[in-house]
Amino acid sequence: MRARLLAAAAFAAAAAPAAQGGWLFGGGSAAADVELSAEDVGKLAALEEELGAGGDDFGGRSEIRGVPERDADKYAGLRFSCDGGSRELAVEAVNDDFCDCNDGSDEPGTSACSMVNLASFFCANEGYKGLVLPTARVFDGICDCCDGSDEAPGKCPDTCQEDGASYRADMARLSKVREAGLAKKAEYIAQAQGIDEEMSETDERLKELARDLKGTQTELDEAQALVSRLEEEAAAARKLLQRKLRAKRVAALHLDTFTREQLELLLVDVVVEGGTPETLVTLVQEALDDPLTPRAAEVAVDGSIDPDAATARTAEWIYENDAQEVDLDLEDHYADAYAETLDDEDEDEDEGEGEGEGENDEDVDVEDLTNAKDAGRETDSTFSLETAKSRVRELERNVRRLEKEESKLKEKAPQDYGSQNQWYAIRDKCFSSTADKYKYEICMYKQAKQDKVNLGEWSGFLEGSNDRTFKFTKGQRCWNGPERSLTVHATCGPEERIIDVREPSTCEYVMTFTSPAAC
Amino acid sequence: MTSTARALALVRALALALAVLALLAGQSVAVDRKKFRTCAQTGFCARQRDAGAQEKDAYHLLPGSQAQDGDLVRAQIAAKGTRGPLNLSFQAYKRGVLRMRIVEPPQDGIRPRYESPDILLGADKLDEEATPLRLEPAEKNAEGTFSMTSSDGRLRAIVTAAPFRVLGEDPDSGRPIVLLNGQSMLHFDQRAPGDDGTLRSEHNVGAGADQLGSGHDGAARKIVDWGEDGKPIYEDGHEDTALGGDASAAADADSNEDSADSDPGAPESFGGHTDARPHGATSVGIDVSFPGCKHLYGIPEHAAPFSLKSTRGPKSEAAFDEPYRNYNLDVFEYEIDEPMALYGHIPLAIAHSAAGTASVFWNNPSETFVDIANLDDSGDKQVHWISESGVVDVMVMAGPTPVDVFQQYASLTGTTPIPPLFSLGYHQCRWNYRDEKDIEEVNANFEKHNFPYDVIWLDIEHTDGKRYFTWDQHKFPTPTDMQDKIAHFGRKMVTIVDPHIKRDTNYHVHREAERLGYYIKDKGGNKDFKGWCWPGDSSYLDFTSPTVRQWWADQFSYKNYVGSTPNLHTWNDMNEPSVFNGPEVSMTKEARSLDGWEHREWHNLYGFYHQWATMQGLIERNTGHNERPFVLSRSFFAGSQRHGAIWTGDNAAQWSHLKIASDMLLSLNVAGLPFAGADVGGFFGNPDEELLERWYQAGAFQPFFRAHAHIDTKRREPYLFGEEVLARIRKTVSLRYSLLPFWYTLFHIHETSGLPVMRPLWSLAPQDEVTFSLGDQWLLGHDLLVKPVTDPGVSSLSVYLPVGTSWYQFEHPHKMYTGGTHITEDAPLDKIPVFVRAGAIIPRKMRLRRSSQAMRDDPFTLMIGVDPNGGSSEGSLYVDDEVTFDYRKGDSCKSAFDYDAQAAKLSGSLSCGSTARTLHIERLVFLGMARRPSKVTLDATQESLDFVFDEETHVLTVRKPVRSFIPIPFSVSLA
Repeated sequence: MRARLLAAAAFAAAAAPAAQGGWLFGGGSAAADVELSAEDVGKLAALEEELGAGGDDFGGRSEIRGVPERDADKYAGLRFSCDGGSRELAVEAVNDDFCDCNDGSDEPGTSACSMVNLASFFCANEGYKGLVLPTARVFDGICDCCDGSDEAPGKCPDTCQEDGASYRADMARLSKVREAGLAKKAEYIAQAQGIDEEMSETDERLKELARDLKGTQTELDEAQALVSRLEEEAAAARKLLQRKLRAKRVAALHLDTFTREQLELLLVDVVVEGGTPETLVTLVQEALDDPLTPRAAEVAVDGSIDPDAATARTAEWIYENDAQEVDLDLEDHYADAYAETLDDEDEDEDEGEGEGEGENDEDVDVEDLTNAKDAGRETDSTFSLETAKSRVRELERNVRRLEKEESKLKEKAPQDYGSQNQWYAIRDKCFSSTADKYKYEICMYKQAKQDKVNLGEWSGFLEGSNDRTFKFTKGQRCWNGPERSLTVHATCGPEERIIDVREPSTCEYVMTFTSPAAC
Repeated sequence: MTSTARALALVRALALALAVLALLAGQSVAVDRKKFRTCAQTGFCARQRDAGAQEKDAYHLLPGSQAQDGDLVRAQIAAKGTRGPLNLSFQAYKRGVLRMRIVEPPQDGIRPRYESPDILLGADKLDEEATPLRLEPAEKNAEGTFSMTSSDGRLRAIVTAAPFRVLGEDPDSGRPIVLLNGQSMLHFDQRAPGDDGTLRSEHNVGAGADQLGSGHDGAARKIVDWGEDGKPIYEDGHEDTALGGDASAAADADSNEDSADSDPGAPESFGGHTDARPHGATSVGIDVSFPGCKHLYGIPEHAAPFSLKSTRGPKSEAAFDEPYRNYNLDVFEYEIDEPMALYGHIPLAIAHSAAGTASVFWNNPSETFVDIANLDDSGDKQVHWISESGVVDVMVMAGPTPVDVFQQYASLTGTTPIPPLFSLGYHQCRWNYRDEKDIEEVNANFEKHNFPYDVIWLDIEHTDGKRYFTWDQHKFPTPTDMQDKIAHFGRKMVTIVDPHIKRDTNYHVHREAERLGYYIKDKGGNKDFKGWCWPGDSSYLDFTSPTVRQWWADQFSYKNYVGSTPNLHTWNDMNEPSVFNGPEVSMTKEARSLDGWEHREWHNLYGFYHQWATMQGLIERNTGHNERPFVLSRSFFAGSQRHGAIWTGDNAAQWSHLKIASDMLLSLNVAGLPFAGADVGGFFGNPDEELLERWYQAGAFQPFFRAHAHIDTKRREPYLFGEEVLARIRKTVSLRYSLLPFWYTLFHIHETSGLPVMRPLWSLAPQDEVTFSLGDQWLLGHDLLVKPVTDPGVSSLSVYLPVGTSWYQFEHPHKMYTGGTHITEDAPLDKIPVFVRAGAIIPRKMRLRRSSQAMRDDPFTLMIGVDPNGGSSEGSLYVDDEVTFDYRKGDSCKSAFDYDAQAAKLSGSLSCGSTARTLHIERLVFLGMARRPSKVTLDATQESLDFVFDEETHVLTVRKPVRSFIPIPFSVSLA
């Protein structure tokens, strides 16, 4: 009998939770107004749905087996039409246990059209409530209707009175629960009074902020682009000049008169003898920066460099092999060294201008070099690099300020408290319960947790759930699995309570929850 | 210096890149090949494969040794360099089966080789099948040969003396059918007295070993333990590595002709495990070729094409490098198009050509490699069987038709008893339905969505800590209530019961098993073998022992298996056996049965025996032993068909796995094991909706129909994908249910005649060579032809219809197709390319119910494929109580249907045994009716029947409503 009710409930347009209830029948529920059991919650959901649907009034049974009074007219008369009027049958073909119509409507009282998923059987279940079943359930040896009319006479006892009585008792009790929940919900809604205005103000401000942010961001992007462009130009200018200068300096130090071998020996001396000019060590280390030099291996091995060892090794390497690369590096090095010397001599040169023809070129070059070095500061009075950089800094500050305000506002005013703002009253509340060794906690509009594990961040109500199902997503990733998530199905109840938590697929949690807000 | 450093850096970078790659690969499905041995890494295989090619040591018949011995013929053979003659015997069975056994002569000091008494049918049944084999008079034969014929005249065999060859031929036409040892690959590692029955070396002697021998290698140190790496630890504290060596190196040495010293019986190491091989080399092998045959099938289970690829000889792109391997293993994330070993094996190869069909059964349960070659001169197919141990026991089935071969093999190893009807319905499985409420919700959802299913399954998580026969007290506190509630809907449940037993003294099964000494023993034979599996430290029952099997069967009594009910059936997984820390994820070959036989001798029988004992348990738990059991096993061997169903293990949610399923299931079916299926949806990974739908379509037309999923996958019950997907899958599953009378009849035919349920196209059109290579389409019986869609985004596909046949599209029979050609068939998402043969009559039940049990009293519909050439259409129907063994006592009914197109008369006979049954027909659907009849009359009453004729589709539907269903027997005349 219990199972039969279950079957009935399972098919009746009722939601799945209604069916769950049936399985737990007989468990007996404690004082109704205090503790709601999981089965009660299922029944409440069913009740809610039933009331929501406005109650399907089939009327009683009609003369035609399997047809409710409401639809009896279709079967009156000598001809029966089906398949949207495209097929006509003699009325004798109705319930003759042979399926003639593609829509299955000629066999409402037999299983002949059960291959048609739409084909349905109605049992009146007097004393309880009418039920519509797929005709697959007719004469299948399993009692589905409490009045037993889906099976051959005598096969199933009529239990509608008892079932109805227990149902009515349940419903009376649960209706009270529901009313209490509704009253509480009204309070919740009252608490949210004015929230709409506040929210719309916030909304306005948020929109404004969004606009400002976008504008500022665009300006910032432009400013940053300018900075990069200026930096590139300056770098290019410097590079050109340095190259010219380097050649000069190599000449000035007479390094261009060294043979390759001599250069190598010079370097080895420098390293081996100690008393190294600082600049030459720098040269060696710069050579080390080349990814093709032994330094790469050094780093790969222990993640750090011992400068002494590296230097020694570099010397050895230079000595043994890559003289050509060393050549270039040497030039660079001496060029730089020479540049420093020149810098020092700037003033002197200023004093003694036009010393000799041969040196004029150099003078110009030194000038250029100085300019290049200062390119970022003084190339252009209006759009100098420094100006551009400070503009970037200012804009970045603006963006940060706007974002801060926005996030503050957003935190204060999440997008959605439900169509009646019924969830507003508990917007900053957390609820927890312990089940199956774990403590589960949901914090509205924030986060859900299983003990310390993040099950997900608030991600809003599920569309079409009537603000009764909300999700937390992007929780901690499972080993070898997806990111954890939690779906909360809220049902009408007099208070917030976690009824049940399950994990149907690995790391995808589902919670049954009651709240007046879901009434 | 620099170059070294640079090289170092480069190596490191490369290693890093490889590590990253490996990491990425780990995320997709890929088998770890390193875990499994190749032929070259397996001494006996490497040696035989190599030696065979050299044709050395060819065997010859000892002159004049042949003699008639009762109904048998005996002789002796020998080869240069072997220890002595081998005993040869020939025997014949009815219908054209020749058996050749080669064993060592009984000799003191040599223990006979292991032979299982349980693979073939029992002696009583086999003796019935035996037929005398007679030596023919010598004058009939050329010098140096002798010949024999089976007294039923089905087979003649000619034995050539030097080299030793056996040719089987058709006695009437003289057509050569099969040639044994044609390439002189016959191999038999013979033992000298003292060589066996004694252990070869000291280190094998565990505590209390009863037999001792002088160490062949002179190793005198005693081993006291084994390291985790599988290497021995000696008494003197030494942790030797000498034993180890690399198997591939050892094999290389063996294959080196110059290394005459290499000991074929030396220990071998692989993957950190050493096999001491205390009995030395005991391998056997032989080549078998089939003159004129270019196609071979069978030797399941491999994730490879139905038509076997060659593994030797001239390289062609289609060939595998490795031989097919038959060694039952738990292969994690197996790949397709591989000859690698899988969970179960049947050493049966079938050869087919337009001239005839024949097959060879290699009766050997030890590790076996199978080389398939195309012979150089003829291109004929050759099978080279290479086994680690046992004897040479070859059975040749002479055909000549596919049907003959199926029957011949069934006469040796038996058939699957007709399954209880529910097990042919749809099975809903997942690792794991979490608790009773989960089961209840899933069931409620199937109910809510009017979706039929018969069985809901519980994987390992339902137990109390992987202690089988127990329930997790929190998740499943009331298992009998749960089963009763499911049974209310006419449905059943299945729980998993694996063979590894948790070593926990608080676990009654372990306590008992340990006390009684029923566990397989470790090397040495005294201590229980221990291995790691789901519950952690576990031991493994010795199912080779009849005593242990009986004890295991007793565990299934309702008293012992607390919480079980008659509606609970069983799933045997992990029975290769899977040992997580064992060599190749299985048991060490040195483990011992209670009888002292090494595991190597019977490894491939572990799952066979496990399922057998379980089946016995399910039978014996009911008074009267009269209810049919249902047991699904992952591992199997030849003969497993007698014990229930198997599935193809842990496949993946990939199109390629859907595609290979039909090849694998065809291979199993022709090898005598029809009740097989692949996990619908794919076990590993998440199928998208399209793959899932297509998989349901294929699965609905494969014998064992179960959806299953790994615990880390998303839920995929068919109602979770929206109304449209649900409607299409429901339609697919409904089709399955509407054909249950047909499936049931096919299984009855299988049980009684040995014919497969799922058959290759060449079984219907043996001469049509196009069909020889097809593994992606199949027949059910010989009446339905199925080619599922196994590619994404497909709206049509090419189907081959065999020569000499005509077909109607099953669901939309608007057109008839004539065979001998490829047709292009529309295949939108809601359509399964299935065809009904013109000439077939298919019994169906056209009412959708929640389960097969709820269909029991529904009337039948007959689908008649009218032969356009005016031939008759035929079909049959088998009916019994769908549940018990009463059919064996004669309680069943058979109906034969015949439509005589000339006489325009359809008739149905009925013959019932002990209990009369009333069978009713509600509808006759004639496909391809040329014209509208003027009248349809039920002959018995001259009642005129209503009918509808569709001028466009030429489908005639005769309706016979309830007020007077057509009772069988009947005849109906069309005018």
